[in-house]
Amino acid sequence: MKTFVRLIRRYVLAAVGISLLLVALALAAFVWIGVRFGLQWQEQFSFSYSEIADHLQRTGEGDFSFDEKDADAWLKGYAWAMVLDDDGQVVWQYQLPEALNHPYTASEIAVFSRWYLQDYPVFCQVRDYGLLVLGMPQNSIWKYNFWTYPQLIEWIFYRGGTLILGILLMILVLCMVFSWRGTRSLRTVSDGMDALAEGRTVKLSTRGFAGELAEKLNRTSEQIRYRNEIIARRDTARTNWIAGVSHDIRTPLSLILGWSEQLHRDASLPEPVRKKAAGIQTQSERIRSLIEDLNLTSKLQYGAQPLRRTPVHGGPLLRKLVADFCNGPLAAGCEVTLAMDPEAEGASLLVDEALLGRALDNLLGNSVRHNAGPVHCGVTATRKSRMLCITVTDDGVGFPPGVLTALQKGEQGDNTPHILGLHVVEQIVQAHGGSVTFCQNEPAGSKVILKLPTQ
Amino acid sequence: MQRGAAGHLQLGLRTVELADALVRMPDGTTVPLTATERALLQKLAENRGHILTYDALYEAVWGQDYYGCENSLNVHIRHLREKIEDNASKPQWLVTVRGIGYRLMGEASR
Repeated sequence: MKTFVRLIRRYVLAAVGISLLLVALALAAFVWIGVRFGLQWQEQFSFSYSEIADHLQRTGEGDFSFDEKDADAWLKGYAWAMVLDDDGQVVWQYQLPEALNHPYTASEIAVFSRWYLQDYPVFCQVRDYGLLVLGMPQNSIWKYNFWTYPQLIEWIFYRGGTLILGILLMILVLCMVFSWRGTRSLRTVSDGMDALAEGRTVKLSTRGFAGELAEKLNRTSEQIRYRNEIIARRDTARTNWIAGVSHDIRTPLSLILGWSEQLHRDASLPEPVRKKAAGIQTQSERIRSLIEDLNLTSKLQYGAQPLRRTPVHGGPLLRKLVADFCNGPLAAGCEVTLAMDPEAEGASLLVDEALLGRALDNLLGNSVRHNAGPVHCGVTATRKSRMLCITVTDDGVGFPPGVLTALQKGEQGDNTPHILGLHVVEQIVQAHGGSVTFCQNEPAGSKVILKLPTQ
Repeated sequence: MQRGAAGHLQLGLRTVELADALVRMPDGTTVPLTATERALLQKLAENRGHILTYDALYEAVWGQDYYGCENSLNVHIRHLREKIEDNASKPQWLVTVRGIGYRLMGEASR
């Protein structure tokens, strides 16, 4: 499924993008902080301690002064300042707190020059006039003594860039690896879903982080398979039940038919009675035909009617089927004409003759049954591409509109008897791999076109 | 289906003796039937009243597939009609069912 691959790709790109963004943000933050504090520093302290030291002059014995600007301007921001000579004496001072105004020993100087003097951060500058000590306000800066190996510093500065790039690359590679493994598990799951959608069963491995998904799919597949099995069993049971019932019905029906035929032939009975007996015979035949159709339709629907196909040619087949109908009891009151194209005459077919005969009987019998008085039926056959087209028409009343829509739309709404017979025709032709079309005949009557595939 | 005595076919005023392969006219004269004509008439008589397809007739008489051999059958049928019909052009017994085959009409359907 392409969706999954796209999803994974999107996540990988997002992860990489976020990582890069974070790194960029961190760098930007560093830079910004540096600049900000640099600016702040500049605001607070106008001049650096080395500048200040340079501009302090000794003017005669024990006198110091600044050039260009006065002491306040130079020392803006600093808390106090003093100059110590080589003996540790304070030879000049500026705003020096009383507590600090005393000579200093070499040790004291050594200590405060590195850290703090009574919590005042100090900076020292050595000049020819002595040691200038500048004190900053307390808690204004944080001094940290830093020492390290020079090789380490070198390494960080020269190799630092490569290190960062390496880390980024590793982030990228790890993202790809994890997402590729994820895709694999997801791909088996998505293949499983494709198989399920096509109606096949699946049995996926339940390892990996998609294991739970796979297990759910397996269960779904098993459910579907089980349901299908139940449906198949139910279909078989239904077909067998219908076959059984129709068999049971045929026995008493045969008796009725036999007796009614006898009554019909009995010359000793009055004519109206014999007519009624003939009527009983006709209707009983109709019931028998319906039962056969019911049986046949259920078998065809549930695939329990195997086709006994034999190779035939179009000409002999149709002549035989029409002749069989005309020789049968249904043909009374029906005149059938058969016309065939020369190509249809020789068309090779592989069909079940008995079933096709049933289909034709149903069609022609329909025409007889639904039309009072004599009806003319026509059967024509032509060959189009690789199909044999058999058209059965009559000049009667045609299909009722309701029946026609039901047939053309293929709906199985109400199974009224005449639709059952036509439904069987559809099933028989479709079982042969063909198609049936129902329409009205011009100028009147019904028209049915059967298409059968030729060899 | 109507059958007279075995091999005995009644066509109106004529009688066909299938065993002897001849037609007995009303005036008593007899007309012989060829073997083919006899075989055809036999098959038709066995299915009297029913339509027999060209294929069934051809196979019954010649034992082969009918396919494409319409003419030879027609010729024999025409000869038969000349022997058994009052008017061969307007057959009353051996009728053509167009496109399908032939039918030997029964007595009652006349």
